[in-house]
Amino acid sequence: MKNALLEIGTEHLPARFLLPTLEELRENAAKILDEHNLKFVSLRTFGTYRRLLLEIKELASKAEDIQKEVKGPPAKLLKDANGNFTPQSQGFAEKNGIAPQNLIVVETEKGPFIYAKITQKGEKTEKILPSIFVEIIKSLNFPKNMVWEESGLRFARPIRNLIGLYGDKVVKFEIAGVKSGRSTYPLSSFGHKPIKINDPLDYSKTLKNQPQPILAEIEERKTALEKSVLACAKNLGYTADMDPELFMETVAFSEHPIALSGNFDIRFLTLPKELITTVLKKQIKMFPVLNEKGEIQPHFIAVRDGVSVNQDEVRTGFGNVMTARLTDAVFFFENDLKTGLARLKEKLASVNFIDGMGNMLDKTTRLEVAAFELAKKLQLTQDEKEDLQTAASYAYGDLTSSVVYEFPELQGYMGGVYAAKEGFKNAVATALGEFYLPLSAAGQLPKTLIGSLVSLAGKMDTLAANFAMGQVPSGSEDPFALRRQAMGAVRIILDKNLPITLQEIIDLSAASLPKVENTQISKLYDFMWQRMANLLEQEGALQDEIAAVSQLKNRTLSQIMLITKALIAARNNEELRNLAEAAKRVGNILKKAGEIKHNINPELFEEEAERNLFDAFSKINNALPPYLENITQESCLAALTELAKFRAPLDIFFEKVMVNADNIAVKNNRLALLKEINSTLTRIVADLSKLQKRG
Amino acid sequence: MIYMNFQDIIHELQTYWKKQGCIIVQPYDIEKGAGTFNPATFFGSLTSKPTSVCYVEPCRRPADGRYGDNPNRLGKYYQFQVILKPAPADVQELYLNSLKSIGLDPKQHDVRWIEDDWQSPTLGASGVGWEIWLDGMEITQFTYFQMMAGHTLKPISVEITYGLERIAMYAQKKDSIFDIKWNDTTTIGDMVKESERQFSHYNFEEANVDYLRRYVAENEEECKRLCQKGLYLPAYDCAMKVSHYFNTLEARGAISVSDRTNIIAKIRGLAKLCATQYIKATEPKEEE
Repeated sequence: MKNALLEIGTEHLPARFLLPTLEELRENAAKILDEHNLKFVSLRTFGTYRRLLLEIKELASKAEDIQKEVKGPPAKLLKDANGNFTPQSQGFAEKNGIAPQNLIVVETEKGPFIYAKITQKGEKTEKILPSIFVEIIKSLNFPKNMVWEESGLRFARPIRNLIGLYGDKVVKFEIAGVKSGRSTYPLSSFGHKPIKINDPLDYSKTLKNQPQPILAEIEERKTALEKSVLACAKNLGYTADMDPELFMETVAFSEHPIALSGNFDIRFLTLPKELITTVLKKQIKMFPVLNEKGEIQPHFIAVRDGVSVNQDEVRTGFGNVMTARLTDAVFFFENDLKTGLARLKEKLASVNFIDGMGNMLDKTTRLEVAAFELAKKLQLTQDEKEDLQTAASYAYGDLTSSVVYEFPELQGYMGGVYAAKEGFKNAVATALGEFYLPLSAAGQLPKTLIGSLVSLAGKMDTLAANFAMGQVPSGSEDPFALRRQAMGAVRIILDKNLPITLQEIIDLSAASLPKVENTQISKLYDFMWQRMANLLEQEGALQDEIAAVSQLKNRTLSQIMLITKALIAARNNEELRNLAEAAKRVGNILKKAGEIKHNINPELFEEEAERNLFDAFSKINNALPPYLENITQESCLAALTELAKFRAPLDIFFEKVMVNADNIAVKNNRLALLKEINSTLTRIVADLSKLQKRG
Repeated sequence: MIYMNFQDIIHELQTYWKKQGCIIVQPYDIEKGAGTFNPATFFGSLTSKPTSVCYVEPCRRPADGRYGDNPNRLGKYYQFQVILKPAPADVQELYLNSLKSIGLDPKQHDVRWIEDDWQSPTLGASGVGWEIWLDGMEITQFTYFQMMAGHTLKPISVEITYGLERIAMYAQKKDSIFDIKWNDTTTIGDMVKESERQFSHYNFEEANVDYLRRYVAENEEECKRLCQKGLYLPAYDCAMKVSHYFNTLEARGAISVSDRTNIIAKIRGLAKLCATQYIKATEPKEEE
């Protein structure tokens, strides 16, 4: 057993590839070694955007022997009448390198057959490791690949160096014209003077001890980056905005992060905070500096890779770039303020939405109509109505602004800033700032009611328009992120407890769309229901519980949520579970019976059991309404408990009564009773027949 | 850092890449939006024949002009381009050494290779590579071409495009393009300010839309006609003209969103036509 090391030295990989690739390298290596029956104690991966490392501890010196059973001819050919091995069985034994006496007979589905139990000797690691390393390298998949040399190998960026070590020996192989060795190379700007690695476990240590140290371990780079950035901030007397995304990106695209601080002109502080931080983080990948109140300070912290010489000149360089970018930002910002939201909004006429659904100004007009209808439906106050109308009117206004053109991620936020600058009401400015929330499936929701409603209307219009045009997401194809938008819409409805059903909100949004042929808007309900179902699942609902509430189309989403929570709370109510069985039976009988036009006539009851069931039905039906007027989780639970009372009379009914009586009138009366009961069991609270029995 | 005039930067880059075996090609005399349009790059990257060239290329982007008022924007500027095919294994190092030749020692600065996969929808071309930041400023686009004019490339060319004005602003510590010293006595401003003003005026306000539309249509037809006769070189000139005058129309605000997509697709089609003719004429027949 010896340790092994593989280095794939590349040109600069995209930062975003690094962590997923290291993870994939680890998984693939374990799988491939396993497939080759090569045992090891542990393996791990690490590295930088220029070197991917796989370290295997105590890799066996040869592959495991494996026992195999090889199938031969039918058992009747094992021996002849005289008890001697037949030519067929002898031949089979010889082919597999064993004596005929060692052949065995195994029963199979097709009768008994001769088998040879053989041992396949594992090969020496030294011999098979080269091809295993090649296989591991070729197994890696990247979001985007390229070709750079004759062999046509596809990889994220060119491979320029390979290390293969098993113990102190080089594992020799070649990929894309590169031969493996035991040397790596220094930082990118420091040429290709080889750095020799003597032992597979020495890689990180060796690189750290170079005149220009390289931190191949991700954790060490994280620590170094954090320390270095925070030290810079502390020197300035402040703290740094350690944006997690920027932090990990920086860890990924450096081999030895060293922070460096500088200043920018205080006049830029008049810019909105998010605009400054976006310029810093996204455009030039620097850390913003904040005071204890979280206010941005006129400093920046940049990160160099591995070198800290010539700091003043580099600082000046960073500072100039920063000044140029912020000057641009000021120019764009002032330009937008000069133009004003009203003009910006007009410009939406030249921004296409989706083919067949007009431009963004058309979309805005639809949004205004939807806002009006929504306000009516939700009985908003006059003030709220006006705010919602104004917010809808300017919701997309910032899309044509110069700042959002340069920084698309600031859409919405800038609208809010411009509205505030122009003296719009606070509620409107805030709503505009919240318009695009939530940004992810679980992201932060709009806080204000107006923000929620305008955001909901915007999402619903996008969904309805896309579905009308037949752009229905399928599989992984969802270019307009409709799943996320639908999830956002559902979450907003729930969060603000809006008294509106899914179908109502869909109809409200679809009403003002242009008429198109072959609309697929009818698929939108199920699509949105699926998001709701996902949320119910997150609340702990099981599939049968979700099925039980899936047809409650006259309920608001909030009510459905409460009913589901009640079902979850009543999960251990055995009466209810048993009732589900009976409910299924009721359903089946009715299905077979076809249409039932008769009403219940108590005169026609013959058996006590059916009279009792009818009494129970009347009592339960009278008891239910108060629970369902203002639905709460408790009232639903109480209603379920009430419904569970059906269990005993229903069971007895099925035990004692033949529904299909000879007397047609009696039979029809029984069916009429079951029909009413079925309605109560499946529609009043939830469809109880969908619940499953649990062991 | 060594102070260099604009013309010295060009001179040193040419000298450096000449030493690496590049032919110093002169600019191609038709308006174009990017150095990649130069036939030395366009046709040069298409076939199996090795190539090493470098050249300065004036690029015209009518919509980028700002009447000479914006210190960071020009409607016409210069790129320095290097094309190497096949891509040498040490091409990154070759590039870093070229920076040294213009006084920018990579060991003294922060050199970042930021993922940036270049593509040109007009040329039907795409590649994989980086934009290179020197102390935070983008100074170079570095691309391994993967596709040109819709053709998958083999062997792969590497294209290095230096933003000369950016580099000069950095090297000379200037805040404005117009203050860049071309030589000891003349600035870029002295040389181009009036031309920036006039061309912005022309591109944004005076360009004759009807004439340009006609010109675009005629050159499109001419390109197709010439390709049919196997005259892919003059045909490609026509394609470049279509591209440039389309850019002018766009700056003039005469192109709608759907127009834009259509015309870009047309130009891509022309580029492909020329490329196919060229490959047919120069490549040994491959067995199907």
